[in-house]
Amino acid sequence: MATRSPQNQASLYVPENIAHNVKTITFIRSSMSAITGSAAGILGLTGYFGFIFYGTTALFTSFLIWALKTQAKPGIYFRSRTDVWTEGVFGGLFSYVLFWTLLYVYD
Amino acid sequence: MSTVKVGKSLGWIGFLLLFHSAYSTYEHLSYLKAVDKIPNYMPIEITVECLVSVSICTIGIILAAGPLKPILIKHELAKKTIDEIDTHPSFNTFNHRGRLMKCF
Repeated sequence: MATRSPQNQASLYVPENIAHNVKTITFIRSSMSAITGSAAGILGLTGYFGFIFYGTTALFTSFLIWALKTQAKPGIYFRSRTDVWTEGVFGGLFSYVLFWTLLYVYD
Repeated sequence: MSTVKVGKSLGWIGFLLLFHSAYSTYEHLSYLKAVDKIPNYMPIEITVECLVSVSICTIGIILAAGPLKPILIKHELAKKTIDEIDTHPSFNTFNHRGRLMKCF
């Protein structure tokens, strides 16, 4: 296959569908941040354990997105294959910390 | 039942379980405070319920989010018929002999 210029590359994709996919993934990530943050508070995690818990659940979520949403073929739905693992993970961390501290019922 | 509805139901079940485990934790801690004990570990049921509810919520939310769309333009074009892609309104002819046939 011949190499393509950036203009040709852009015309290969449907921008509405890219935006739709990013919106779907962001919805999943922010909901999961709220849920896992609440769980971390309920479990009473402190310090690094909370961030390790976030990393583990984010990885689990990414795996389920990869398996259920993209049927193990992320190349069809994302421009880069790693997007399915990284999209919105860092942004969700802040909602996670918010819900973690909110539901921390231990004193 | 569609996948989205299944996902929403699972999400609500998971949320209720999570809420219940939060309530249980709170009750357990207030009980320990009432009998003057130091909370050094939580009952395993609460921990398990919390983790199970997180798993249910994850699956529920992912199913409820709806399907992704393929981003390549060739997948989008494959769904369309040749008439939709290859329309040429400029080549439509209205001044043809059908006009004469209308007289009869």
